[in-house]
Amino acid sequence: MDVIILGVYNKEDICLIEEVATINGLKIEWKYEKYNIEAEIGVVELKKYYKLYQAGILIDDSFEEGDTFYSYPLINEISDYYTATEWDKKTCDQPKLFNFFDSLSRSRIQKIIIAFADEWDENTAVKIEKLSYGELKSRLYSPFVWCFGYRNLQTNSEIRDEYHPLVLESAKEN
Amino acid sequence: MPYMDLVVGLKNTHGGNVTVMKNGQPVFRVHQPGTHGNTGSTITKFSQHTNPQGVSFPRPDPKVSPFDQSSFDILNQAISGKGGYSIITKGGR
Repeated sequence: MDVIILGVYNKEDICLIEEVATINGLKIEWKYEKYNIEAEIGVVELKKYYKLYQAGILIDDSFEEGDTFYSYPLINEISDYYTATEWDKKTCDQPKLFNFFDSLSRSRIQKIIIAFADEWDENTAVKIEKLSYGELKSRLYSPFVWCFGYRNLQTNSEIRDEYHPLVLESAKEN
Repeated sequence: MPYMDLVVGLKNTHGGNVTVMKNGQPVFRVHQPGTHGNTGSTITKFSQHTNPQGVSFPRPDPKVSPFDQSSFDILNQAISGKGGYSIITKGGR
């Protein structure tokens, strides 16, 4: 199940990123281990690789204990937004995650890791991209959001490939 | 707990969670019991959508569903290659 992992480099950024999340109807769970997520091994590797101060999972703030713990509703919202805007030519509100990125651009946080993953274990290879905060929305504006799509020529269908987590090394614009 | 035994056993034999496929399209993906705050096994179903160019694409449903008798029956068909069902793991293995 998809999760959005936020990795911060210092203690001060924890408070700042929580504030950015809260004002956009989101929250960050730093003690994600209790939920036994399928990407848990990957988050540990991510923290080690980038020498992160802390990493947490971004979720909708409507989450309550007993609900499925994952970030997919936030990702699905972007997919819905894309199809409504691009294909159905409807006007709709910007997804929460895009509002979060807008707020991130205005924050004092200099750099952050934003990773998207489904299952992630020690054998999983990731895709790494460097982006400014201002580029995040356009990068994720697609039906499959963070995943690449691959065409099956026999059935003329496109499959979402979530096999390789996406790691975005994001920073303020220079 | 035959559901859980099957789901856990498949992960062990296939090296990961499995997705049930039919006609080249994902039907549902199976998740292990106790993951993501859930108690039992769950599945993510896929819905078919079509873009303006006529290309269909399956999207995971925004909510997971419990792994029930129907899922169990379909998964068993997929394991034995019946009913047009099959199983794959991540990366199409």
